[in-house]
Amino acid sequence: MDAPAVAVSNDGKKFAAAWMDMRAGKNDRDVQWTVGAVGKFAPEAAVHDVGTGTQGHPSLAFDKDGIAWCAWEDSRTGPNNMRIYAADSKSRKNIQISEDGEGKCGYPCLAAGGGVLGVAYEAGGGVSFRVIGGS
Amino acid sequence: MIRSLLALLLLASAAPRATVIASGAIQPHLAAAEDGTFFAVFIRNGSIECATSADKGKTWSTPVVAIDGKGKAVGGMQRGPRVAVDAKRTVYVTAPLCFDEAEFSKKYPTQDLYLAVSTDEGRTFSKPVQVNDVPKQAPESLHWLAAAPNGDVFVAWLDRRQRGNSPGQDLGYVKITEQGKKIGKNQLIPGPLCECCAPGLTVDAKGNPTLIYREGGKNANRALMMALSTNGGASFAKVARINQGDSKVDS
Repeated sequence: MDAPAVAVSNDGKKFAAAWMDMRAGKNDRDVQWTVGAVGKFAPEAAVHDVGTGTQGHPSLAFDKDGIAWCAWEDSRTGPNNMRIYAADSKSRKNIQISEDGEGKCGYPCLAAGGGVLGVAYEAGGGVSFRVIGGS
Repeated sequence: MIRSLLALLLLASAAPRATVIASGAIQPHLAAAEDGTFFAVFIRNGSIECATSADKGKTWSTPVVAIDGKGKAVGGMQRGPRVAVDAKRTVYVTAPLCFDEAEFSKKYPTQDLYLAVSTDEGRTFSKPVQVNDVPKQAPESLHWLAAAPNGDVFVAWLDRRQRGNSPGQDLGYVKITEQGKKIGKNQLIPGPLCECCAPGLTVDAKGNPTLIYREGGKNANRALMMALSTNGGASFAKVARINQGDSKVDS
């Protein structure tokens, strides 16, 4: 099953946690996430902004501005269309990361350094990388 | 019309396209140094490989073998390698692997967790060393890795050394120091943990690790638990439930 994820901000004050669960139904895997301090987490919220497909395998990182990001697998456009999506904890807007031409994608992993936030993921033809923010 | 086209072009240039790091590779993991050097690890050709980007992800090096898996590294469902980097850009790679030929007569060879270290920014790696100090007690091969800026490294995994013939998993973890040379005594946080969920792990700038894991056992709503260390990983003082709603993940 999907590993839960945890990340800490550079100043050590903020934590983010994300995990897959089935609160919406046995065949409806969703990713929930929350940001806060240990013992002071906000109630979790679904990371996705649509009601279709399944979501799983979350990864977390804080960007240079201290904003938490989550990347995850998402089949919102069809069970055979597993893509990588990402959202930040401020806007919560979902962004498609992988390209449709990359085929079935999975196992995203976020990392931030030097002002750049990037994500690596398994794609149809191998391992891909994409910059999400910064330069 | 022209303005719209210009706007589209600007948008396209602002969002870099994906770069293929390694064709035919699976199960990636990613770490970034403070200066924006990225390190990606993955399984390819049955070994653990590492590729590096020194220009903030624009281009990537030809991958090198970080741990020679003898063609038998398989991964599967978050059983791939992990990578972490410290402030000196020492690169740490861990992976579940099996080097015991006798195990390969079994359908599911039991793997142990291995660490390899690079002190030349991912060009070459040390010979792998075993991380779990009781062999063949981490059969699920589910683990995580994190490194503090000062080079303290933490590994967490599902461990069965205290379970005997009883079902279930506990959480094993270890602190590794001296740029990977000194592997500490393994410690355990009692479970049961979810038998098929890797733990999550992060470490703050001061070297304090935080773990997250899913409960196991007979439970209709397995909770997500977070364990926090405030003494550099010597112990985990606080364990708290994170999810407020029911997970509906059962046994």
